[in-house]
Amino acid sequence: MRGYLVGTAIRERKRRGSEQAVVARLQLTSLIDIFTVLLLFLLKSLVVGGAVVSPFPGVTLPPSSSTATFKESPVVVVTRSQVVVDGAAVCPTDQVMAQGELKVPALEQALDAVRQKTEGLAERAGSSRKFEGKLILQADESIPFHVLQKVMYTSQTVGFYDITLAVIQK
Amino acid sequence: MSLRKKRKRAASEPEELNLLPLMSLFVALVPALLYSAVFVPVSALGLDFPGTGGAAGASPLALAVRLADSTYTVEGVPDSAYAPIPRLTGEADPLRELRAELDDVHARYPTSGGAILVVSPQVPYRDVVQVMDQVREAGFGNSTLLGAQP
Repeated sequence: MRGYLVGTAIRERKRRGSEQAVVARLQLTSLIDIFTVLLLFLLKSLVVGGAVVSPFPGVTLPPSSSTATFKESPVVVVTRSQVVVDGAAVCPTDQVMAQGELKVPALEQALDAVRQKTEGLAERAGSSRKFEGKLILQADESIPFHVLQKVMYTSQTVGFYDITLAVIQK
Repeated sequence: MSLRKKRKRAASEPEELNLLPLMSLFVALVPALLYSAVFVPVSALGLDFPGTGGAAGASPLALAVRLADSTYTVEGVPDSAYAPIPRLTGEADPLRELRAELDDVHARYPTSGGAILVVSPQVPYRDVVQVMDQVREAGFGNSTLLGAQP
């Protein structure tokens, strides 16, 4: 019994000694394969030259055959429930729908604030970033035209004359 | 094993490729590409407004497409009167008919550019974009949007 234990301990020590001598190497080949596929997929979805615009959550943009790119501009979103300027809710869409006047006061205030902010930044940065009156309009495809007409009219009263519509590429 | 044998064996084994620099490159590239990748392709559709110097203002032809609640009508073409195209019947493809009329106008007036879209208040935005597409694809360029009286 004792001899067996001694012999086992010696074998165990030898085994450990031989394990320590083995250098573990990381197998990177499969990881490289994954990265290569991922890289090709991302290169396919890459946007070069132009601002990246993502659809606002809950908005179904209309399909279009246009392939033009955007320039960096403030974004006005018209969802079925609310009007959003640069990510902040401004007023309910129902309110815009119900009003008879073309000008939407809440939207006018929000866009005026955006304009002042852009002009303030332009003053600090010199002539490199000046206010160009560009605006991106994201609207749900089911919105009636008169709502968009009011939004576009109000944008123009604040000085945003260059409006670009955001659409989903067919 | 003698030292000579060990050396001989090491020399005969293929040398492993060092993949770590490639991994570092991938690790740097993937987040950069993820940041600028677009998974839902959103594109820009330009439009003009009355009095802002659009193509329709400079065109010799005052082409207008009227989007009423139930019809499309091509207007403003001299010596031609196009009948309204019913757009909610579901029988024929009304956009194809509209496109054929626009192609006909463009063939007769190839130098004209821009069209005025007179849109009724209740017409959905999707329909407006569809007509803007037809106008652009027919060769008239950007559309000028105008609201029709309710």
